[in-house]
Amino acid sequence: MRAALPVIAALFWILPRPAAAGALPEDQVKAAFIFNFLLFTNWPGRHAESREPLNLCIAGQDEIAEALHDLDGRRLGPSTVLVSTLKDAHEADACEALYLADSERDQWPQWLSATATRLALTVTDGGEALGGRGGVLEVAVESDRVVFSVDLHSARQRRLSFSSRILSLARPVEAR
Amino acid sequence: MLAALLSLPAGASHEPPANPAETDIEKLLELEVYTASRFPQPRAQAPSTLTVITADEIRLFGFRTLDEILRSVPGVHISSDRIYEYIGIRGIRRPQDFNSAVLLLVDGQRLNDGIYDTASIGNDFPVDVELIERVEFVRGPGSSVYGSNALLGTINVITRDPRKLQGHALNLETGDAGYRRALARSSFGVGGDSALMLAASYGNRDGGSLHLPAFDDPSTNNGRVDGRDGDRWRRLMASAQSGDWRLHLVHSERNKEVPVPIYGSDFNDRHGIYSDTQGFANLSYDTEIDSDWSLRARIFHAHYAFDGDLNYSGVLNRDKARTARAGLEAQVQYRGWHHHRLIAGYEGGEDYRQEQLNFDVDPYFVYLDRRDQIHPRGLFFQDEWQAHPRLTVTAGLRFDQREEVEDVTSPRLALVMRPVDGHTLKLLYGEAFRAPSRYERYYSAAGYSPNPDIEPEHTRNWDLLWEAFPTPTFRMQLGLQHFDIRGFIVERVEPETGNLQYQNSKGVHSNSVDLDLEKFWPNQVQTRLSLSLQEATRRDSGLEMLDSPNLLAKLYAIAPLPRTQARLALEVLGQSERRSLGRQAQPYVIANLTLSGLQLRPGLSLNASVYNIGDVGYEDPVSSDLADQGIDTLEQLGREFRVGLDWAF
Repeated sequence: MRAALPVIAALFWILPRPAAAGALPEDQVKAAFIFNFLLFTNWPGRHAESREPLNLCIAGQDEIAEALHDLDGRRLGPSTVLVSTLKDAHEADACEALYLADSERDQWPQWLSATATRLALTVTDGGEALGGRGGVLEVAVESDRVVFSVDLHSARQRRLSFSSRILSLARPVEAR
Repeated sequence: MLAALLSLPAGASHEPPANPAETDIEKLLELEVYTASRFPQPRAQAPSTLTVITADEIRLFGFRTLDEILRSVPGVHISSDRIYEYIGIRGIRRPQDFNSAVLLLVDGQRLNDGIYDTASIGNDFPVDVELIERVEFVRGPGSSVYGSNALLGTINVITRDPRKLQGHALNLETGDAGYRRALARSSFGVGGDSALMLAASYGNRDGGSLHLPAFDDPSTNNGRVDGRDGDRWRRLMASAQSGDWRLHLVHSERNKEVPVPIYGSDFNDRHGIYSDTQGFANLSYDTEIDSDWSLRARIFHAHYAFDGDLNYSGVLNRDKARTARAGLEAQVQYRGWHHHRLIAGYEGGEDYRQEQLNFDVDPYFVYLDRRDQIHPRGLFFQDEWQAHPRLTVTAGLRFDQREEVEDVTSPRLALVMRPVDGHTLKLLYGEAFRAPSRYERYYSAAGYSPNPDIEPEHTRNWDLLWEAFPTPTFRMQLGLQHFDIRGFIVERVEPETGNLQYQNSKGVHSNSVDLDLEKFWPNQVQTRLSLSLQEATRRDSGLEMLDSPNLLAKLYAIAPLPRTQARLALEVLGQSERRSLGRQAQPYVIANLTLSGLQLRPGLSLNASVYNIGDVGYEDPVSSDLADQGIDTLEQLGREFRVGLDWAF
């Protein structure tokens, strides 16, 4: 009776709903979006009913990374999201998602190439990680809304697939 | 309700109302009721605020569904989102739930399912109204005998005893909005004390059109939804009784088109449809062992399935739930101790199947796939002590256990006094609880966060009831109630994720006063007037609850149609304005008129109703699932005619 996918739109609001405690800082909204995006992502060999934790890894530091740490241990679907910080790309094997923070910006190409054939969904805040550079998901804020792009070519290399519904909301990726 | 009808013999639905000479209400109220204590006892002695609606009232007032029956009860209001019907008791109704704070029973068999804890009261209720002997409705807590869900009230639908039904019957109905319905029933006597009844029905409503002002734009058909309100249902029932044994099978399927863009699904969606399938099978044994002891036992199996199809930007999303439960109940009663009646009972079940799924059909993508099993169980005791010829004291207690929730103890204490003849005074205290549903705990498709730490909600309730018979033909009842619900479960935004989540709030408190006046006039005219003043307030915000009318007024009148055996019955329902998430739902008064029992020839009679005679436009507040799409209140049905033929042979 019941519910379906009610508030995808709400994911993109800076002020999520009137009922919320108030406006969230931009970085927290981006973090919430990244967190929720995991529910629209399918990893090969991982079933929707799996209660195994989802590993959301972080390389480097910035405000979004801090907000993601606050989501450590939260429930998402049937499983729990575990947030951890990586020192080295070789540790990325167990990551379902990898957030590349601003402090590592110079190292992004290394991180992306080192994980290019892994299953990790890489996420960056703006910057230039898509369009042949190996990144998968990029988030930004425009006119008080989270906008995002998905590089389907990189995603296919990493054998990731997504809900068509979330893809219909993504912005096109420009070839660079 | 109109107590005179209580005296009519069971199975009289094809006969004109009997016993026209009976005009003494009090005598007629010496009816035994079951629901308050889980055993038959005189209504006046029941430790509850209890209302009975009989088969004859159902027929006389042209009630087509359980929700139409229930809304005749003082302090009850019904709202609809044009998909399901929702019950408010004493101003308390929770948007986004499926009547989970009300326990719904069919002959004592729990109907609330294992995922949403739904109490289905509209066309999704699996029993046809013609097969109902009476409905017993306890307003107030019932957890001391029934456990979870009996928070605001307990509804027990008692079906016809197959031994009291004769022959075969066919009911055919048609009406406005493409309404068609057929019910066939056959009863067979097998030997002296055994009988079998089989019934099957089919119903259809094409529905009307709907205007949604929030979508009043040329790109969305100027807000008009046409031909998307259809409703179709099928039901089967078999009931066999032999001596102390009863076998009961019930199954129903209901498909409702979804005419509203709920959860942000596509407007005017051609494929939006909600389907509910449910039923049960049980075998009961009910016997008097000797003059002191009696035993009641039952084994049961119950199933429920939901399938919801909604399109989002043209992508079909399917929401599914599957539940199955098997269990047993047993209770003994002992009357050997002077002035005491003791009962002890056990109820246990295994919800061996609990599945929640949500996925896009094409391109395929799974959002939720969760399977659980739980086994709730409870143990209860009650002592009814005749402390004095004019005073009965009832004390009861129930312990409930289930996975993931702390054990709950629900006590009850009731004093029933008859200080002088013709007056009954009841002072009732009860505690009740509702464990969070599996849906509230674990639903987690996109936009929702599950909440495994959610706790049950608890209520404490005080009732003071005074019933008096100033004259043998005039009954009055005054009731005062105070409800206090702690941890009332609400849907909130989890700030860190922006997702919706069910959480325990501080709670709700409610105060209400009901006045119920019933009068028998000469010439078989009967009237009943009930007025309810009520307020229900959220503790956290101090705001009045959503969809909570402060005033409910109900008038029921029956009069014979001169020179026939037919009767006319009028129902007038009024309620004050109600808060919604946007505009207020305006106050309204509607009236329904029914003619019944017009004999065309022996065995064949005609009945007809006109609902909402004045074609009054009125709206009900709806939940945030629609309010988020700009729909805060939803228009309800205008005037509709219905005509039916009853053929008994």
